[in-house]
Amino acid sequence: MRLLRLLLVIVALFTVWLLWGGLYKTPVLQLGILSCALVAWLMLRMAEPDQQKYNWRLAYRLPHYWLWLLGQMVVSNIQVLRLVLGPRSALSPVLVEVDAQASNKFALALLGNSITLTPGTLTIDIDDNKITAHCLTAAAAQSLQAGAMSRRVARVDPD
Amino acid sequence: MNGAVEIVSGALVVLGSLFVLAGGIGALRMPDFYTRIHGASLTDSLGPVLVLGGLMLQAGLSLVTIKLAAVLLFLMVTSPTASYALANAALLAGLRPAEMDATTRAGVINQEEDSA
Amino acid sequence: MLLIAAIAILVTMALALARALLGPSVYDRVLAVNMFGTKTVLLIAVMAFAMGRTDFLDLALAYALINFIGVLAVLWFSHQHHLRNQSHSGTESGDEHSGDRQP
Repeated sequence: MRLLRLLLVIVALFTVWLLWGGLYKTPVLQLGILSCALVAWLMLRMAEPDQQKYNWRLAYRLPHYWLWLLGQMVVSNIQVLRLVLGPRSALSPVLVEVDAQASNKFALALLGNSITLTPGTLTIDIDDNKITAHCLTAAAAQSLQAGAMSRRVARVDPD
Repeated sequence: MNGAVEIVSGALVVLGSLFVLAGGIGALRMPDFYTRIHGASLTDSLGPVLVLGGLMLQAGLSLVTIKLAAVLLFLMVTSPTASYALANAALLAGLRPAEMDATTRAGVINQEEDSA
Repeated sequence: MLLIAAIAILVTMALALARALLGPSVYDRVLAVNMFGTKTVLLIAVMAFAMGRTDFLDLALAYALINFIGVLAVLWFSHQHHLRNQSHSGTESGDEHSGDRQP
């Protein structure tokens, strides 16, 4: 199983090498295989304690989620744009706690990054299944606590 | 190159750069550290998506588009991570967000009302 | 069109530099430097198309990588520094490290 993962990482890295390099001569390719193997070895050493199984359904669920996130980003960007250019009195920063509905590492990281990626809300601390977020306005805090994003993330990668 | 595609991609790039500019203004004029991160995160979300998306449209289907998509994906993963690391480091070092201290908040609101 | 975008990004970089010089805390400066770096990536991408040399995109990707690692390294350094000072003086709050350091 570990050998399979190592091989998969090397193949993926080498594909990227071929795409980027565009120079297909034997010594260059040998160097490519060597450096890919080195990077794969370093990666497996780093990821030793993290033995989460890869969920293949992510491959089609994740792009779907990204589309939804893009829509959210457009809405919140326009809101924050008006706040930034408007008067300071419109700001009402608060700290809120959000329940993550899936508590595996990938889902937590995805939720935390999504919260930061939509302007107006910012992840500042992560517990086991709670995320502390800093919100620019009380309205942004309320819509975050309504939990639409956290439900979506839980559907992308359930426990 | 098709004329309409050229115009749409140019408009996307300019719109994205305006979002980036607004984020820069936000990072400069927001009142405290945590709200400044919000300003800076404005430059890290829709701005790059629009700028790099517009450039992808211009490049058409080619290796260049794949490279642009890789840059975009990388930015979308790393910039929130860096923001989180920064905010969390500041929080652990004892820099409190403005609203956690009720007296300073009241002071800020009074100032706003005085100046208004 | 591309030149307008490049100028807007350059102005943003100047604003980020202004924030880096104003501070007031170390974290404001790190935030500004991080912003400067990600805007460099965008500027390189836009200029690659404006100059018709799309091979510059590799530089943009390398720059994004270096910037990310750099920010994490600075934060790790400041964290270690903070821990060391805390164990030295035994004070709870880190205000003296994160506070004003005017140039």
